[in-house]
Amino acid sequence: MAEPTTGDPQTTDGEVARLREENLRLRDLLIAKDAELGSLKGQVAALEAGTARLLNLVGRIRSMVPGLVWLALARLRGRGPQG
Amino acid sequence: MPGPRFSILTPVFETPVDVLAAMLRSVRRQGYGDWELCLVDDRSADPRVQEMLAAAERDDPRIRVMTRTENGGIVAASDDALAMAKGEFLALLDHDDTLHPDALELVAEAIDAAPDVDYLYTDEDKIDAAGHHLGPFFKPDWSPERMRTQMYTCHLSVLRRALVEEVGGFDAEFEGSQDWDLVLRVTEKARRVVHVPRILYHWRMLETSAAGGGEEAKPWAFEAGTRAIQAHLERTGIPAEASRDTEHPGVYRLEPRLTEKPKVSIVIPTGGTVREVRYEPVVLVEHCVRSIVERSTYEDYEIVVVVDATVGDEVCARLTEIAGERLRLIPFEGPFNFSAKINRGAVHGDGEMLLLLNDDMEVVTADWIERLVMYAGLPGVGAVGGRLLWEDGRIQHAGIVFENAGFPGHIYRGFAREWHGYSNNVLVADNYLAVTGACMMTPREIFERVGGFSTTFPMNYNDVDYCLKLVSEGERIVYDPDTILYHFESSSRSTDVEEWEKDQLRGRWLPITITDPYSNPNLKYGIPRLSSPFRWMRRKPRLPFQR
Repeated sequence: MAEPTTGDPQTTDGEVARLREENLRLRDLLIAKDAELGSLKGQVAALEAGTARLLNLVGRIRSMVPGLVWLALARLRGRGPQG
Repeated sequence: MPGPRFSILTPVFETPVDVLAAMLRSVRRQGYGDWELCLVDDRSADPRVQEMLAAAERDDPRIRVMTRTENGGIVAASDDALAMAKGEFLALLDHDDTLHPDALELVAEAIDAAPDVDYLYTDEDKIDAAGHHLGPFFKPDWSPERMRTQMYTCHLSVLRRALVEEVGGFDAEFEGSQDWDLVLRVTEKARRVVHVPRILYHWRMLETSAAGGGEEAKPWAFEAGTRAIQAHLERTGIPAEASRDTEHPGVYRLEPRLTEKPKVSIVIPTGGTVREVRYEPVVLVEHCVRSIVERSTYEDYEIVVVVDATVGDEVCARLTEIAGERLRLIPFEGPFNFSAKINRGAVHGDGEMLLLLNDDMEVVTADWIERLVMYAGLPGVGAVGGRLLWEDGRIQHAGIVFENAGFPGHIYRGFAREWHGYSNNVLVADNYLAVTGACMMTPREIFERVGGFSTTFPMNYNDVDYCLKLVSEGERIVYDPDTILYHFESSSRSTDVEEWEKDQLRGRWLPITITDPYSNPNLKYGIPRLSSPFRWMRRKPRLPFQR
């Protein structure tokens, strides 16, 4: 950050004001980025929770499928000789 | 894990027996079992009351009855009930009202979710003589500023017994408003306050109750309300005097009595726009500055006008003529950026308080700066806004709420000036997530800490974004109904909102705005939703084998 090069009070005041404005901009940036990061982290957590729920559901369905197939085959086999 | 025990405190006096029976039935029907009912009969003359109380005590060991030797009034009876209580939490139930069957269960769940809670309150409705439910009161989450001008938490109130005993229980000086006084004293020390947004209390409208008879039924109660607020103001060092709105029962006002009057920098960005005001073309900024100078009673202020290059020298000369030594003219060049103009004005002022003002405003109330300073000086308050009216008198701004998945909107925008709002919330001070930047006071220290207005919002939402930054930093935003200005809106900037502005706002603040804590799930822009009657009385969903 450059120091004012002149001793003129008006120029110094102007420079101070400019630096204060820049300070505001940077502080705003910090808070905004922090908020955006928090928001994104929340979205990631929500998506991960959703994914985990779906994976759990898929696992349960898959675990049921062999049982269902076995039942169906057993039924068919049972009916076969009788039919 | 077992839940807390509730001690239900109920002073009884001359209660109609059918009403008393309904009250007792509603307690016995609670789905949550760990409660005790502390009944104190304040010498009722009707023997049937005593018989009913004795029978209730015989039938259920959780019901305990004490009969006073002489009539002492509601505070004495409530204090006796408090002395009987052994539960961790106290629930206040009037002798003629009833509880929803899920009341204690849902409050216990809220306590389980927030173990450090010291005070809880729920939504409520009224029951008329025919037993019909009406007048639901859907409340906001904890709003300290509202609590000073309206006893909005009212029923059902549940307080931690240890804290109630620490603050000394009920105070006879505030007979009639003893609940309000107690809640104020408890919340001054509470670690956390929780709102349960369900109607769990039914307030019976009897001619002799405040719910039915209004101010005429209990005039002393409304007077006691003023004293309760005043005592709270003195305890907390708020420089104000409480008074009662005689036209609207239950509405109170704070008049500033400032002991310190910090310098205020009024920042007004302007493009020197000319517009018709009351059928006369005026330079808006001149009109605005003239109204400030002529009507304001506050003394220590400066006016920092940030002028575009397009503003002529004659306008600047007239502004100097109107405001004299108070005026600072700060030039602004470059593309339009409302936020950058606000920030430029702020850094050129030296007031401890910043008052951000559009150039299309006109002051109505003379003590507007005093009022804004009163609120902006309170600990935890980040910004204060006022009630703004369009030229025709309709409401332009009375606070900002977030609906439709986090989009901001002005509550009651376009409603008649006389509209006092849902549960009088236009007339009482209140907390919101945001107020408009058209007239907003904020302490300079806070403004600088959060980086002022974001220049990434050059046109719209910069004020909302600023308030949300404050909220994210733990500050409160206040709406003051008695700071009134005219806003000749839409002349100072475009009102069209771009999609990218919406996306940027939501990208930053959706976790805060998705559920506005100062609204209620049953309200939309301050009005009860059409669906709310269907959700109003519903029971908690249960599986068939449960109860």
